[in-house]
Amino acid sequence: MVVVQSEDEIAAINMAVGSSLTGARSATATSGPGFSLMSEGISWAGMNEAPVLITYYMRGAPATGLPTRSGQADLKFALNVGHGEFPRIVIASGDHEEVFYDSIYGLNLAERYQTPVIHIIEKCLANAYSVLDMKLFTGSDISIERGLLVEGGEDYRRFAHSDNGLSPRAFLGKARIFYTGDEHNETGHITEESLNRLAIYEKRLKKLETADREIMEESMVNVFGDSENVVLTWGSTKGAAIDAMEELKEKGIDIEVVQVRMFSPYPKNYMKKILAGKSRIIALENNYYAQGAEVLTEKTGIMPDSYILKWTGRPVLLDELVDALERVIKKGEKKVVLHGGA
Amino acid sequence: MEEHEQKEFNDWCIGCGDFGILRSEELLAEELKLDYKNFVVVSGIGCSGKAPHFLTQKISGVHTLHGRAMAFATGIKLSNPSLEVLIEAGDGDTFGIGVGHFVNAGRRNIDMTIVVHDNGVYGLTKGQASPTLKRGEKTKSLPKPNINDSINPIALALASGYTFVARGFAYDVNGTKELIKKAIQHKGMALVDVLQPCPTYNDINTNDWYKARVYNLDIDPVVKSIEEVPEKVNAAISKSYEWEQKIPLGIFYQNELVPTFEERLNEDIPDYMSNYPAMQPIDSNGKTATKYENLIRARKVA
Repeated sequence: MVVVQSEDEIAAINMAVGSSLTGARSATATSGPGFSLMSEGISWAGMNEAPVLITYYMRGAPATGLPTRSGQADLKFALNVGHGEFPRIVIASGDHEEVFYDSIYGLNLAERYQTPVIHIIEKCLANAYSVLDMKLFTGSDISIERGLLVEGGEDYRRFAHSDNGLSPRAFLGKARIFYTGDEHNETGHITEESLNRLAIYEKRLKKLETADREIMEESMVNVFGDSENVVLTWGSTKGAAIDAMEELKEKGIDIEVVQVRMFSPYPKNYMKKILAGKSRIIALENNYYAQGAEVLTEKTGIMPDSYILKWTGRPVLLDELVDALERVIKKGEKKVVLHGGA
Repeated sequence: MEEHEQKEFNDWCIGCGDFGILRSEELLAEELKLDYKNFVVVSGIGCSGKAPHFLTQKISGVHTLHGRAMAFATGIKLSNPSLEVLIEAGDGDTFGIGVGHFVNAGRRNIDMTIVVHDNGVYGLTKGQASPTLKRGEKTKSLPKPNINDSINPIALALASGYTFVARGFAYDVNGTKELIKKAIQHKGMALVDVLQPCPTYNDINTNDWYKARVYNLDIDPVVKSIEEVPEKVNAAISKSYEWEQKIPLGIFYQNELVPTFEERLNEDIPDYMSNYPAMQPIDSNGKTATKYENLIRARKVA
C-alpha cells in the first residue's frame, strides 16, 4: 500500500482516480470542505467509470462550521455531488464495526459497478475510539469482488456496450486505453455525435439500475425490534436509538429502529414493506431537515409523522432521546429539537 | 478496431504550435519505442488536452480536468512506476488553475515529464490572457492590455524543485523532440516549457517574433555535486529572465542527485519497485489477500 500526502483534496481525489486506472484499489478520505473540492474529480470518475472510494466524514457545517464537532447535514450533498448525471453509490455506517466492513464493501462496490462510492460516516465516529470484541473481525472470510476484468490488449474498448451497462475493465499498461472527461465513444475518444451520446449516457446510468437489481435490499437496512412506533434513522444515532429501545421497554413503550445503510441505490421496496401499516414514523437525525427521511419520501412517497432533530454538533445522547421519544409517542409532539451535551 | 486505425478529427487551427509538439512526440515515441505497454500520456484541458487523442502511435491517453493532469499522472505513476508518464498541459492549465499541483510536483520529484504548451493565451476559449502573457501586451481578443504580470515557468520550476528544466520552441520539431526525449530519460520531475505561437489569438508572439529571438543556451546545466546547486540554479534563473531581445532555448538545469519520490517510497517499502500497487494481488479466490487479523491484533487492548 502506498499513501500519499497530497497538497489539497483536489489532488487527493484525482491522484486516487489516476491510481485506480492502473488497477490498484484506491481510496481517499475527507470532511465537508475537502469533499466540496473533490466534486469535479468525482464527476470525472463517474464519466470515466473509474472505481474509487471516498470516505466522507461529516462535521458541523456549512463552511468550517463546527470543525471539531459532528453532524449529518451533508447526506444530500453526498448523494448529488458532482455536476451531471452519473451513478453514485452511497453507503452510511452507524458504528465502528460497520465502518470497518463498509470500507471493504465500498471498494468491492466501486470495482463491481465501476463508479465512485461515497462512504459516509460522521466526525463522532471518525475521531472516536470504541472497544469491540475481536471476534467481530475474523479477517480471512472477507470477500473481495473486483468486478469484470479483462487483459485488454491493442484493440480494447474501455466503454464497450453491454446489457447491464458494465464493460470489462482493463488497466493502463495492459491495454490501449483512452479516457476523457468529454463525451466519448466505446474506445474512449471524444465525440459529440448525438446517437453515441444517447447510448453511452444510458450505458453509464444503467449501472446504477444493475446495482439496484443485484444488491439485496434487505442488506441496505438494519431493523431492530418490532413495533408500530418506528424510529427511522441512519449513521451514528444507531447506538443511542438501540439503547433507547431497551430503556423504553422498561417503561412499557415499544419502538422499532430502522437504520438505513445505503442511500444510493435506495431500498425503496423493502422500506415500503417495513413501514407498511406502522402507526408512527419518527425521523431521528443530526440535521435540520431530516435529510434521510426526505430521501425516503422522494423514493417511496412515505412521510414521517414526527421528528427528533439535533444540529448542535454533539451526538444524540441516550437520556435526551428517551425523553424525546416519550414526548413524541405519549404526548404526540410532532417535533423535538435536542441540544444535550456540553 | 477500426476506430484506432482511423485518425481522430483534429480541430487545431492551421499553423498551431501544437502540431510541432505533437510531431516531436511522435518522433520520440518511435525512437524510444513507446507504446501502451510502457507509456501513458496524461493531459489537462485546453487545445493541448486533446493531444493524446491525436498521437498516431499505439499509446494510451488520459484526458483529465483543467489543471489536474499532474494529480492524475501522480496517481498513475505511483501505482505503476514501470510506466513512462508524460503530461501534456497548457500554460493556463499549468500556471493558472493547476499551479498548486505544478509547484508540489517539484517537492516530490517523481520520475515524470510535463510538457507545457505555452502560447500566452487561453486559445480554446477565444484567447484570454494566460498566466504567461507579459504585462502590457494586448493580444487579439483583449479589449485592453494585460494588467497582470506573467509567471516565469522556468524560474518557478527551479524554485519548486524540478530537477530537469528546459525550454523548447514548437516550430523547432527536432530540437523539441530532443528536449522531451532527454526529459523522459532524466531521473526525476522534468519540465519542458515549449513556446508556441497561437496563430489565431496571439498576434504578438508570432512565429517570426520568436524566430528573431530564440537562440541555444550556452551554459552547462548539469549539477555534478550538491555544492553546485545554488550556483547552477542561480545561473538558470538568471538566463530564464532573458526575453525581450533574445530568448534562450535548451536545458536550463539538470540535477539527478536528488532522490526521486519512488526512491523515497522504496526506503519505507523495500519491494515497492518490484511489487508496486498495480500488480499486487488484492484477493485470492474471492477472499481478501490482506491479513486483517494482524492489523486487528495490533489494536488489542485487553
